[in-house]
Amino acid sequence: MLEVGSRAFEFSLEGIGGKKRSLSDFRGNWVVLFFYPKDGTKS
Amino acid sequence: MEAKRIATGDILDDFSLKDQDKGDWRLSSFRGKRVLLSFHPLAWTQVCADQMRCLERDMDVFESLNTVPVGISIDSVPCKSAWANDLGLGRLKILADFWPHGKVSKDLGLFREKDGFSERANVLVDEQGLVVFVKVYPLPQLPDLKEVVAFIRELHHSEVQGNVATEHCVVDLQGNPLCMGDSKNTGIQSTSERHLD
Repeated sequence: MLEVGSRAFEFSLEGIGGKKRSLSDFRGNWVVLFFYPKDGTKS
Repeated sequence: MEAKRIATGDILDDFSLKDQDKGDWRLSSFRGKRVLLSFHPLAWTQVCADQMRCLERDMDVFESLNTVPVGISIDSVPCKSAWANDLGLGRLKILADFWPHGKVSKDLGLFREKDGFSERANVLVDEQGLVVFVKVYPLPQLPDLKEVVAFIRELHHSEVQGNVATEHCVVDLQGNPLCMGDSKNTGIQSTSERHLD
């Protein structure tokens, strides 16, 4: 698991509308990576 | 390890998956009926939606032919549940082949490793669990359900002599891939009113 102080590795994923975004697209900004289990659930 | 693709003449091993209502759906509990396993890549996509709507629309036809159709994809139960609501499904069960990821489609050799989802395919299993029809479609192509129904009808009539099934609904499929487009004869309204579960 990533630890505080380590460098996040670069990755790309497809988002809404099939648009591919990379972590490096947001360089210069703080980025919150919000992981969640499944779509379509309450929590 | 990629399994050998399922073929006619194979006996399908029993399997159990959750449906959109978290119910257990087990193949062997439908022994004595034909089962149409309708695999599709992903929920919330156009062709897959039409594939499921066509099955829902023709539920009466399938019932008259002693056949139970089900949709199957790698999507999770909550996703299938939300999608079923969005599609207005009333009778059709759509199964979550979610975890182990794509296990059923892998076992049938219908999993696309590079994509992480299954082929678009129809697999017909007869009353004893024997595979009698397999067709894999190009991903962008809506399966020709008319062809599948015609096949089942032929089987059915060779077993049940003199039982002439009605021709309603099925003809709408020809040349009209967007079956939601013609609302007159689709049976979608009537099935949603019925809402059996």
